[in-house]
Amino acid sequence: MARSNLIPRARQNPLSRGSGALRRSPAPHLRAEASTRSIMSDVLIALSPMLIVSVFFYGFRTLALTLTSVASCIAFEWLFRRAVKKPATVGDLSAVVTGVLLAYNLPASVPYWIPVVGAAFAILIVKQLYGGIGKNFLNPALAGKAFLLVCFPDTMQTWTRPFERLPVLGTFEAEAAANPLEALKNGLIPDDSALELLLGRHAGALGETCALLLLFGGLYLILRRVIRARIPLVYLGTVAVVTLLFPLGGARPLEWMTSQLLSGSLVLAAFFMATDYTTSPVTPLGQTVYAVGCGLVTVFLRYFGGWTESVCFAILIMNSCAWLVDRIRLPQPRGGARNGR
Amino acid sequence: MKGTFHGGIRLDPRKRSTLSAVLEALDPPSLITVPLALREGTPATADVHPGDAVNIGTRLGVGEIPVYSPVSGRVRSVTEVPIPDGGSVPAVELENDGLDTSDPFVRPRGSLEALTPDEITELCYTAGLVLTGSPTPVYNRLRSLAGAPCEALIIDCTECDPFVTSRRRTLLDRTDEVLAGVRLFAKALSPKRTVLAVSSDSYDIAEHLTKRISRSDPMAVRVVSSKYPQGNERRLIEAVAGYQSADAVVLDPESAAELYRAASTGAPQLTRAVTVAGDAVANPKNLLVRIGTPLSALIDAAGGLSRDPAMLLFGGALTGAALDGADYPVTSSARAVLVLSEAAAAHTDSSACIRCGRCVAVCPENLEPLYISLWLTRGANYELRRSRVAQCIGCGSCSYVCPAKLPLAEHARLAKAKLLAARKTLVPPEANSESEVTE
Repeated sequence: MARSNLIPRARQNPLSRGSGALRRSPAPHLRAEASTRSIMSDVLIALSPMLIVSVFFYGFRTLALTLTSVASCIAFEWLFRRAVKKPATVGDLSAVVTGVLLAYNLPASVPYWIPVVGAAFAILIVKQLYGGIGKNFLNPALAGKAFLLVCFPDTMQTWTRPFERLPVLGTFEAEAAANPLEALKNGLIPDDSALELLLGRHAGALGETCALLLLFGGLYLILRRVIRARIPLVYLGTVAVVTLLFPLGGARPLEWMTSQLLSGSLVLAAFFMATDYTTSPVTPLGQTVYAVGCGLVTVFLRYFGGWTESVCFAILIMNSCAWLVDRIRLPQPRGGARNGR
Repeated sequence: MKGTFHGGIRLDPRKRSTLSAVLEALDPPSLITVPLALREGTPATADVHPGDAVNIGTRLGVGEIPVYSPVSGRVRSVTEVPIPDGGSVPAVELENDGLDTSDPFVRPRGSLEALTPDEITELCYTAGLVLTGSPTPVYNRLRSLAGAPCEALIIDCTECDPFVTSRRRTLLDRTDEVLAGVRLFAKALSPKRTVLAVSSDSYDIAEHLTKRISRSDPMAVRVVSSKYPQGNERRLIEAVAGYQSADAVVLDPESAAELYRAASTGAPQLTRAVTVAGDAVANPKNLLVRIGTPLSALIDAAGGLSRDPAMLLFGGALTGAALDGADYPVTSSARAVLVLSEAAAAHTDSSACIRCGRCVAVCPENLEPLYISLWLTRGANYELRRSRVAQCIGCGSCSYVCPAKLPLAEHARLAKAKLLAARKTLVPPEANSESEVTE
């Protein structure tokens, strides 16, 4: 055989054929460092400053609620994967992100069983029954919030005033405060100034109020290339344009637009939930259509819907369209003379 | 203004170990195996028989192009040899006598100025010139326009994948030969313009070339992006002349230098500039090696291994072939041999697609690799046919960026093969000839 003569025989040479030292795998042989886990870690880093502010506003109860929500999400995911004998996926940290986002959408006054119920719906029904990470067609945290809002409307809409810190344990008389969205619903500019809305000194869910920190978090994600600016900017831009053009009840358009943008969970949702990979389109065109849709439905539901906050419903509706939107085939920009043929 | 293209990825160059490693000629070992065909399945016949004496430049056989002996000595056998690009091809095994006697065939052809365009094109065939990194004869590329006027001749002076610096060294160490060869290419094609495309991270090369181009030369240096895969033929045309531009020809500086040598000395292509690098190589080098030298001799010349190897790559780290051993010959399109340790080689444990869309954003052809992979694994042939997967250039950018580490490029390759196979079996013979006209 000619082959044996090509190189001198060397029994221990790791480069000789049959030594088993060399791995053969399809190209490419280098991979980028980003992994699902590193992406989820970045999202958690971007979300974490808001948690500190919520403790400052509402006391350690918000931390306890967030931990309850995260722990429930991890537990439900782990138990389900184990029950159906599939590989465990809690290591990718996506359940932790769902847990944090679900908690951020709750008022600080809710009882502790609320995040547990929400997590069960989000993880078991919305995420795992459809096949786990990457397969769900609705954002689990938003679906969990929508489920809780529909089933427990009073609990989910009892707002407390910032700086009236709530006890971690035991019962308390929550003094109801007015969410700025309620004023907007009636065509009035809320009492809170734009600065108060930006800094978060107004009633709202525990992780949605401080728009400034959420914007910084979003900026961090964009700089880290975890998300692209397209979806949040187009979403917020659409809401801004529509509210500027059509203010309700004769409010001054600019003031009306600012209040609309900074109230409720719009900023949180635009950067952290509308951008959810699994439930948003992957093509640039699809993402633009999706984000415009989110904006239009949000304003429509805020003006004419039955709930004060409708961001979650708007995004869930557009989530359902994401795969369809991806398959819009407008004339392809890449159809060169040789390739198009 | 810098020319660029749609999509692509930024890679850590990792070229430092060989950036200033000047091309060193490697003495051929006592036994070399010269493949006669460029790829498996193409016919090739040997002109020599066991026992025949050969000199440098003696014709050994002919496949798509003629193949010549890179050493002097004796034919030991005519055999088959597995080549790094995959499969086995006919080959001639030569015993090197170390004397480097030239064949009488190798002699200068007279004045370079007297060569006509047709003679230059023919010389690319008779000298057995092959493109760098792709087993394609230069002759085919020169004739790809089939008589249409050439808008632009683009010389690909980019080297956008990690570790490899053999082209950089060819450009810096053999500048005059490269430029003389480019002038011959330009004479053969008479393009409207000739562009030396240099990537934006190699301003030293751009400066060096600009200095050496004489005023009378009808060529210019053009800076293009340093993204990967800028070196792809269509990406270069896109960066220099626009995506839709059709009548451009892309050639490389190594072939230019070889063409000049063939025209001035009569010597056919006998050597390749090969980077031997990677984190498991003790003393990375750029070597000028005779075709047919076993890869193991290259690794030995680079000081052997410094760490346990996990992968042996032939070609770039993104599109190269992973080999099971170093007992393969250097082929006429070789450019790099990389040995990576476990730490540097990609780990391939994949998880579920999270639809992050990175693969779509980086695809130079604007494909949707995640959907191609999905349709393939689901067996959804209708969707696969609509996915334009035939346009995939196999650059591997999608797999590179995938956070779930899915083999997207491999799935695209399989999908392409599947569609091709389906067409061959489903289309009746008479309809086939018709479809060839419309394609």
